[in-house]
Amino acid sequence: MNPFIKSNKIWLSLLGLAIIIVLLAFIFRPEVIHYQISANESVKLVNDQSIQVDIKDIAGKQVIDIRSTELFSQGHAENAINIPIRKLLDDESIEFFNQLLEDGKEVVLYGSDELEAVAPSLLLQQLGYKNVKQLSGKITETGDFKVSELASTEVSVIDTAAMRVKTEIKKADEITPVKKKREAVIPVRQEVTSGGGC
Amino acid sequence: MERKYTILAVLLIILALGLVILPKKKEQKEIDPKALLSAVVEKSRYLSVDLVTHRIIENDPTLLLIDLRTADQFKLFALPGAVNIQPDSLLTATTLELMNQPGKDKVLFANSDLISEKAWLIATRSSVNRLYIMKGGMNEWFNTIIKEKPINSAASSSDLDLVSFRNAARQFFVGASETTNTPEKPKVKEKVQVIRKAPEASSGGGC
Repeated sequence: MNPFIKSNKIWLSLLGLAIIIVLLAFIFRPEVIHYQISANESVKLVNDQSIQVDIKDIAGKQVIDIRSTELFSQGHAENAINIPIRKLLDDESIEFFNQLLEDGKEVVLYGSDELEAVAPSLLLQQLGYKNVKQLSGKITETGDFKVSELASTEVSVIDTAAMRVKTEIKKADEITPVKKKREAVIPVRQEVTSGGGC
Repeated sequence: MERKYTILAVLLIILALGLVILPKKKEQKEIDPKALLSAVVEKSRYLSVDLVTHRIIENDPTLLLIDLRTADQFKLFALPGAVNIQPDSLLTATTLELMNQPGKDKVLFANSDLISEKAWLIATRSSVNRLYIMKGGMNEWFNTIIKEKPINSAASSSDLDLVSFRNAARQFFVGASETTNTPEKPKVKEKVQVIRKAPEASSGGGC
């Protein structure tokens, strides 16, 4: 054996071990999904109406039901496939979304109500799946789509006239601070007792 | 130089190369997409308008209300202690500093759920924790707390408790003039029986 190897046996074996660890960590590194849109860019999506699709426009698009398997089995939209919300980022699902993105096919997510699909579709958009949209509607128990007007509910219904009552009272209090009148103290004379007595 | 030091140096260089391979740490801390999806599924991120109202009345110091409505709507009426943040300035340094206050429950709301849902997702991605949504937004708050609803005669005691809480909350926000759901009872003039006191005998002295 080479005298160098013989004298540095421990160091060389440590070196070899380190190389193996680094290589193994690189090869078997967990597949991490990365955001493709920065958080600052995704802020623009908050007021973006284009990620919503009307019920009348879903023809030719891949419809995905994100409800649970049980609810899906009770009734679902025609041609819809079921990917429960918890499994949307599983390896199989990601592979499926990648395929749809490559094919240039638009994807529409729907849930029990319109709100259920908002966050998942926005998340997938941030992961680079710009073909993923959210249905402006919900599915009924009979498996039919029903238009829901979530966007229109963002219009204020607050009757500000009713709410002003208290603020006006508050303001009035502020404008005319109530000054306490100094009470005049009238000394009371002690009456002479009328009581007689022996 | 001794050989073993040379080998040690090579070892360190290899480990340093390993660090190069690893993904770069982003400047802004972000939550992993899978963890974000798990958070999306959690229904505990929604707070009812009753619960939020209760915490407002209690003057809960851990509550931070973030109003995402327009500045005009905010000027017309705002919940006590609420801060108005426009959705497009959600991730500015000032807003993030405000939302990253330790020990605070941040509650997002707009008129309804759509904007707050999206804002929640983006802020949670940016590692803002203890972030909630007031379910239904200001419209739901107004319809539940401020608008009077007829009491069902078959209401349970818990329902009645809720109604009385909402009535009290309505007084808190609007004032006493806008309250009372129960019809006022017609005032019946009570007959007062006058019992005249007999004149007392003079206390004039004398044995």
